[in-house]
Amino acid sequence: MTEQEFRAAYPLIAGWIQNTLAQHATAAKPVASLGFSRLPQYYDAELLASSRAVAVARVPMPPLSAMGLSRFSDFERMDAGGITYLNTYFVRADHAADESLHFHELVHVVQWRLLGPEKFLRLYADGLERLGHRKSPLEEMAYSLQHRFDHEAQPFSVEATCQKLLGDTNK
Amino acid sequence: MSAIRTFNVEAGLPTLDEARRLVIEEIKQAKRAGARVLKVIHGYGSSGTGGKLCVGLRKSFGLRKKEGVIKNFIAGEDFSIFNDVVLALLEAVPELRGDPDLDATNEGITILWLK
Repeated sequence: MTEQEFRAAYPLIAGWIQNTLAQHATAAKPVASLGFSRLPQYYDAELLASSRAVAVARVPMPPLSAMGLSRFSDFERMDAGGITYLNTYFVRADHAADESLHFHELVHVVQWRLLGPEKFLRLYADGLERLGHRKSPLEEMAYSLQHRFDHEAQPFSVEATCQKLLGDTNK
Repeated sequence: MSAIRTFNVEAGLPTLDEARRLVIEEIKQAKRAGARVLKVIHGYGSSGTGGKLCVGLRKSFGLRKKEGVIKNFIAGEDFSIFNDVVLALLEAVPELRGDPDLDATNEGITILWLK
């Protein structure tokens, strides 16, 4: 994706995200209120209180083709279990109690926060285009940390780990 | 002693009146056994046996709540961690978090929160 293409698409995507979050604002619940027992061992209380989760039948995907980015149409059509925009993530209602999925989406909340919206979207789009969804660096990071959450007993700070990993990525 | 009991009222193909009586009896037994939650399987639909039981029993659960026989009830399709009553129930009965019907939008069940 060229700098020019990104510059043209960014305001459209950012606007769509703002509208989408506004539409779901009343249904969004603070993650801290969902009563998960393990998440507080990995995320600080402030992040869990300020992050929002929304349960939906199908997670909202940005209409990238309509924005002129038809090469991302596979991603647009994906029936994902969850997706994160800024401090809010959407989970499919039939996965809403899956703590591991919430963990994964919260990794993205941390990434959005650490990188800022523009850099997050630029990195995400770049990874998606070059490597596909599963292997894009921001997803790879989320899946790898989720694997640790699922299989290791020892908790760790996701924010500190993401900070280090994103620092390494930017070197 | 288990905090959660399941009662399949639909299995015996009862009439609605019979089902009401059976559930009331099961509530008493569950309370005596120290259960905090009774999951009632009644089937679903807008008509047919499942539909009649679903609609009729849920009406009667509203009455049981008013009478103070049960603390509250949650329709299976609302049994989600995004529901405030469910969150309160999960806090009171944490074992319920592992229930396969949680967030399964199962219209064929109702969760009774016993007193």
